[in-house]
Amino acid sequence: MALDQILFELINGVVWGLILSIIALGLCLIYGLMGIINLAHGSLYMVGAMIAAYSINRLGIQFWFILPLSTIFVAVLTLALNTAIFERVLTRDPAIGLLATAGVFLTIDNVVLSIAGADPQSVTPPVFEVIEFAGIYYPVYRIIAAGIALAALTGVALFLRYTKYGLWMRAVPQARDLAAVTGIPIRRVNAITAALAGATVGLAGAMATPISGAHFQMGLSVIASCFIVVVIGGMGNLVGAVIVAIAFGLVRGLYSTALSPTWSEVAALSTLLCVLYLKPNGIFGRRA
Amino acid sequence: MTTNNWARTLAHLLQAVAILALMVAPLVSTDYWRFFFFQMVVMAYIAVGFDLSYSYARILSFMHAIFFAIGAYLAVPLVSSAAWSLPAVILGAAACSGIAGLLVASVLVRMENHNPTIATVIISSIVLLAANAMPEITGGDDGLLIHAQTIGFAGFQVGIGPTTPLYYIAALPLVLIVVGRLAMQKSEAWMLVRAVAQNDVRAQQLGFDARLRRLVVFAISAAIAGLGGAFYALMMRHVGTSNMEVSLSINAILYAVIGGLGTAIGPLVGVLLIYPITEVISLYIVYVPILIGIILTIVSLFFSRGIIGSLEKVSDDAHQRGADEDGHVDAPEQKLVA
Repeated sequence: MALDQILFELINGVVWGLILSIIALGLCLIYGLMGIINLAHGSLYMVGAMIAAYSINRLGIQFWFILPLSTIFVAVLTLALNTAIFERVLTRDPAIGLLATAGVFLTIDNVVLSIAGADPQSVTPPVFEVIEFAGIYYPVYRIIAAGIALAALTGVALFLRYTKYGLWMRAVPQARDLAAVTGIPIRRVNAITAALAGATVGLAGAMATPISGAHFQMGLSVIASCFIVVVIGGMGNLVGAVIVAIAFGLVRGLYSTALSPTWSEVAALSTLLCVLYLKPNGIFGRRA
Repeated sequence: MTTNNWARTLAHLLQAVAILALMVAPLVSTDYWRFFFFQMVVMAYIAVGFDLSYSYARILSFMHAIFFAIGAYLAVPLVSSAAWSLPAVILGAAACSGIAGLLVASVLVRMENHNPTIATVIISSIVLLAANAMPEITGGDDGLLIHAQTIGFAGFQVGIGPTTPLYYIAALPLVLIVVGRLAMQKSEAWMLVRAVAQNDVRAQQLGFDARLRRLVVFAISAAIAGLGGAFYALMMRHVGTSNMEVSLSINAILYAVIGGLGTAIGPLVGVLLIYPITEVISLYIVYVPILIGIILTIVSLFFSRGIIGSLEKVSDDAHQRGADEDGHVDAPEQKLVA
């Protein structure tokens, strides 16, 4: 096996790991704050990607305008889900949230199927250049995508650390009743969490389109890696999720030096499933 | 007390109608309706399997379609290698699904909170990905065909496909499972399963191995789904990877939820009610899953006890009020599972 190919796949792994981090971020945020497992999260990612593909291929809109567009659209969609569903299941049996969001997943996927059809859409990257280093040629767009993902992660981390709402978002899950009596506007905090979750996953969807294309079932294919990352990272633990996402990307990258893309995905998921067998409740422990 | 009687009578009536419909309908209807009922029987197996797993192993499973598909896929080679024996085919398929369930459950029961549910989504995605990646074995989307025309059963040859004898061979075990569960509801062993389902710690303190019981219940629920899969393959003479999709599991979940989770007859009532409705709608709308999704969301938000669950609640509440008047006070537990 040539070393440069391994290096290429490893860099690919890190790039995918970073994108996966911002996909999983929203799942983690909503679980951490509201205790809801949003099974429709993959569908939100798919909506972000399909909007990008549709706007670029059919409407001829420039890629860089699409990023904010997808981000805002999916954020608004998630806000709507928050009002219609999340708020109604907050204090109830967790199974209700799972079942309700399973319904949403089926609905969103098939609404998109009915509008956009079942053909996979591909989008040409906005930047074609490749750069050469250490003997390999790497597409510049993927490096930009990784940079945007990193920036988004940093942005969310700063938001959680330094803003009033960020503080509340960390405080509410620790002591919900105390938060309520001290006057924290919990409903608004929930809404902001949902919007933030939607915005990041929408951005991820749009950003992934030039790399992976768009298809109405792409949410389903990402939800497994997303879930495994969040569970092994320790449900609701953001740092843990990011670390595991990058590790997942690397593992997948290593496998893809020897296997086809589908089989490397299967192998990477199975590897992490083995980790889950040994540490059924994650390796980083739960933290809000 | 009148409410009590009214709700209980209605629940019993639905029970009787559902079982009667299953047993009589194919005799008095056309080939098309027999095929239609056959599909409902097959779906009821997954719904019953899912409900067992959720209500008594406390695992909300999104992977029962996988166990269903294991049963269906196994039926194909089993039919060609054991064409003399239908029982060998169905029992073999059910046993293999059960073993698969046992393996999966050995991981799931060690997890806390919602992690088992998430694991079922992950495993189900891995299996579907892998199955689609090896079309030479699974046939991919095109699937595999059963070429045999008949299969031996108790000295007779039974036609493969949606035939009347095969229908009854498929429907009878389902009815037995449902009736058996109804009969068992008051038995001590079942009380124990329910106690374990409701509270691990309590059961453990009483000296019962909660994990082992959850493991066994999950394996049985997988075997039931696999049994349905075997009958599906025999009826359709075909099985493909689309039978593994999570949307099939969600369909089964919807049936169980609408009928009433944790009730013996609920999943069957759910199938008999919702399956025909979606079939009729599919004549007018291509994308029926949109509607299934919306119904599942609305039902889980506003009607999570389901039909039988609600009736039992009304009946229990009336009973409770009667008891309260006698001076007995005991607040009913607010739970999704009856």
